[in-house]
Amino acid sequence: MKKTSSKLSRELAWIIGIKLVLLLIIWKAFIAPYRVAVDADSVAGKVLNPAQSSQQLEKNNAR
Amino acid sequence: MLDNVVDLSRLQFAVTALYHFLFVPLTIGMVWMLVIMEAVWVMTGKQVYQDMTRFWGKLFGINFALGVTTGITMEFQFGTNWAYYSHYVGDIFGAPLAIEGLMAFFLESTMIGLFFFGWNRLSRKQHLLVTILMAIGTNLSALWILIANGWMQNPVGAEFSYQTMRMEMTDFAALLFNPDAQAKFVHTVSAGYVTGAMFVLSISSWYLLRGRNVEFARKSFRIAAAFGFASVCSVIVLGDESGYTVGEAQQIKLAAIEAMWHTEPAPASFNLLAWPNETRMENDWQVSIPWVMGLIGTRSVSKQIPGIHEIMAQNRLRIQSGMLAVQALEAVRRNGKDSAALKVLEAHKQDLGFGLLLKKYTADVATATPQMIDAAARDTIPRVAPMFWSFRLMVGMGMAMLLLFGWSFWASLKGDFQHRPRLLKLALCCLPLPWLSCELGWVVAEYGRQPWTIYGVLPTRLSVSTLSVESLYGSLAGFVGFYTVLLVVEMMLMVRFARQGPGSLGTGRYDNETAH
Ligand code: HEM
Repeated sequence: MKKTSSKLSRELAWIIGIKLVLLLIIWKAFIAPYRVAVDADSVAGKVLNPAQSSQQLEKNNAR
Repeated sequence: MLDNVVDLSRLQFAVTALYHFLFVPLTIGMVWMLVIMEAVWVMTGKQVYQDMTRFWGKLFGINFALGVTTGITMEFQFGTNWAYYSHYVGDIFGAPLAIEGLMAFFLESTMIGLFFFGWNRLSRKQHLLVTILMAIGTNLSALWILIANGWMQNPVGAEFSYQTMRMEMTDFAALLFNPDAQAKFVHTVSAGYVTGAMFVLSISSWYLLRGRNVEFARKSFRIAAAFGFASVCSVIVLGDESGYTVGEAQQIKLAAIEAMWHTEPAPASFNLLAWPNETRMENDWQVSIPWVMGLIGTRSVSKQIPGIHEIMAQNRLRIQSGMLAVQALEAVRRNGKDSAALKVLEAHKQDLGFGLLLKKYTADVATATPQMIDAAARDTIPRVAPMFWSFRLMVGMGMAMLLLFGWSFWASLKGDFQHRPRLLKLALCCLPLPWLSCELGWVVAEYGRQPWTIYGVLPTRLSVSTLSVESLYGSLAGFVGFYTVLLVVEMMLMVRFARQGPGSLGTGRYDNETAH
């Protein structure tokens, strides 16, 4: 009983290990460099009228 | 080839979610089968039930090992492709996802570890308790994910803040007891139970067809038939409940599912089959049953179900109201003390999302033309044909499984099922049905939510980040490769151990002990 069970456990442990490595590679290659920081102003810039946003910027600068 | 960031990001999320959900339902369902098998062992002391728990537990373990962490790629995408979405709804969405993470780690994973390594260390009753806690943990993880998803369909207990430009939670209890989330949870876990039962039923049928491990397979078949019959009945009843909650919170989704272009006098008829024509916005032909839709959709004979054209007209008004909200928001962002603008924003806030739909057509929503408003109103309708057919296929397969489990249960009560090769072959052929129904269910739920990520609040177009198409293709290829490898390995291991059967336990009590 022990032999096959421990063989499978070993295989599954390897699979989980390899999977974590693959996920790390995907993270490093495709995720970490492309993370986008978003705050209230960037959302406003995206969803509101850009002309209004630039007016706002100009106003802020003038103050 | 897709060259637009919105569609590519959607495709990427859909692909990862659908792949992920190939692993999930089996885990959710198998775990309760293990509870039943082990409980019978503890109660009767019959060795075969412990062997069943261990053998099916081994297949469960393979699925768990391959499936665990496959959901994390979706969370990766929140920070890259869906950064605006994440900001907009992070305050609400973050809580259930974090609780799920903790639950999955502490309860589910710990108990799964104890289940596999505790056989010789715990007493029978202690081990059974571990198995029960493992089942509860697995199902609770699903609960939190579905609370998050339910909120995307019916965003209750939250309000938009113009200062932070995001939705903020106002009522955690409303989020927890959201009727959409509750209906989704029970329907989805029942779908998992059907999957677990079908898996055991099919493989046991295969053993019986080959005359191998007959006593073991007979007992497994019996449990799967009874559990599967109860589960398939509940998935159907709870699917009806899901349809009802959809009709309450997302009328347009229900109208699309039913290809109901026009409002009919109550109680509406049900389109059993139809050929929806998106260009004419009519059905080319339909086969309808009077009254049925009204009865199941509203549970009354007098309440009307609005058709697509009527909902579109209502949405047009909401878009016009939303234009005022967007303009007021712009004014308030310029000057937070503009009380007139604040008043307008307050009055039209519930339609802000509808105003934002116009961003597809113009940078300045205030200048949208009537044609643009018409086009945006048309956008509020999900594509009808895929919704109509996905739903009917899911329901059709549900009905087919009801017949199969009904027949299997009846035959197992009579005790002669191993001499019914037609039933056994049918059970073997039906193995893919629960997975197919689950995938189609998600198509109905998520495709039917378009054009929103958060229904009525945040359009999908405004939820995505401005990434390059090349980087999206790169990550898509990475994800597809990753999942495909996992699936192939899962299939190979499953086939290997299913072929070996309980002989793989090495107890000396079963056939095929020397096959490996
Ligand atoms: C036979 C009758 C069935 C009915 C009336 C039904 C109804 C529904 C409805 C209305 C939805 C969409 C819910 C939403 O958009 O929020 C849905 C989704 C879903 N269905 Fe079904 N369904 C049935 C059978 C099945 C079967 C047999 C399975 C799988 C074994 C299944 C699995 C799913 C899944 C996984 C989802 C996505 C999660 C969710 O939204 O609940 N359904 N179903």
